[in-house]
Amino acid sequence: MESTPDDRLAVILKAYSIARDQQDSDIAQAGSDEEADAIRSNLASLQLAYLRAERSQLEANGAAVETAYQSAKTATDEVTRAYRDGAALADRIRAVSGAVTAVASLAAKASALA
Amino acid sequence: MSIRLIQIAALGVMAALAGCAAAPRAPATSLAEAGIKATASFSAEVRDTQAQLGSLDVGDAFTSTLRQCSNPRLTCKEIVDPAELSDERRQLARVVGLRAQALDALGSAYAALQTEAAYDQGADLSGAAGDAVTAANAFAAEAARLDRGATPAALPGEVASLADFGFGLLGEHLQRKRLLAASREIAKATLQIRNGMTAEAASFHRLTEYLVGERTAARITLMKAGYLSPDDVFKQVAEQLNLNLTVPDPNSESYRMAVQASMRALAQQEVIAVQQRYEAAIATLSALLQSHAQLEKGKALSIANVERVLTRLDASLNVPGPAPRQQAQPQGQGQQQQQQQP
Repeated sequence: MESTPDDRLAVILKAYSIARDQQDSDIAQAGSDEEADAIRSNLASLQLAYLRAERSQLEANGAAVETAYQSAKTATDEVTRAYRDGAALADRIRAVSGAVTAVASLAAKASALA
Repeated sequence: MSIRLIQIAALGVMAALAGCAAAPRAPATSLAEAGIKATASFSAEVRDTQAQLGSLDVGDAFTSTLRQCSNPRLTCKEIVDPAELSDERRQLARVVGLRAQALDALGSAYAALQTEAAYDQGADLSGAAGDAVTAANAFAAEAARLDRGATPAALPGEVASLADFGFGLLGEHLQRKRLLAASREIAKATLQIRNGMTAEAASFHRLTEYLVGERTAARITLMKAGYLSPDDVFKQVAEQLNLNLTVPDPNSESYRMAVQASMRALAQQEVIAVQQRYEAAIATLSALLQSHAQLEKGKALSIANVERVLTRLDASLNVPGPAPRQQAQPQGQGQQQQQQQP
């Protein structure tokens, strides 16, 4: 079944919310300023993607959009898994970074203005 | 037919015409009062969302810096949100604010209707009704919008038009015409706003989740750092369990973790409460539209339906939550008001 604009927005918000709610422990475990910056940068990117998506229209349809939506879902699941399984901080940062990329791709492809 | 009979018949026709032409002041007053209450409640809700979007930067700066400086391996320095993130929040807040402006303009139109109907004084009724329609159109046509429709005409099929509420031809009698024409203009604005808010319900629900999530994350950070007492949360837990609880060790990890889990659960309750208020507010606008249609048709005007929804809205403003953000609106009168047009 084809995803709806609400489905797409929901997955973007979910990716951001999971990472945001773990920010305390992520920053507490950061071993360097660079690591802390990477955590914040990922979070800011996901938050920005969500807010922009709310103002724009993720209405475009098609195979490319569906592929991007599935990738965003998979990337979000990876983030969930990384935190649930207690992955190392570097792996958690990598998982969230993957979600940033996937979400950005979804927003770009599904935006009617793209 | 005698002249006497013709005179009686003529008087009867004149009396009937006079009855039809009487201005429906009493029902219009009730309708206006309900409209003022409904728009004020909804506007407060929307403005709260707008205000929260506009205030995130300050809290973020505090908690982000606190996190950074709490880790001895990191350089203690000020951490602020990226400028583009702040800009995006402001833009979204402005878009949300446009909805509140439309509701406020609609409230002003109802206030003008109330003045005109209640006292038969010359309120700027057509001006206020026109402002409401303009604001509603601006809301619907705003380029940077939350709704899924490109133009008002493209709103989802399930939202209704005035015809679906049974609006017919306007009465032609001069004494009625001004009130009914204003009522119809206000109904147009009400419909436009109702349809827009219905189409945007999912967006507002997500925004609520986002904002409550932001606030909860900040509260947890502050509590962990010792800047926020867990007592308020614990009190709410005890109230919801309806038990007198004591804390054996306020510094224990188990207590802090339990409070943290409760904060997240309370946040979920808050999200649901806000969503319910939004739905109740939409239902109130729909009930107002039905009352407008009754007014126009000269039927008995039942404000009870509007009052019932308003009462539900008021009740939902009083649900427990971790951080109540709204003052309850004055309670509706509650009793059924059946008013027959004169």
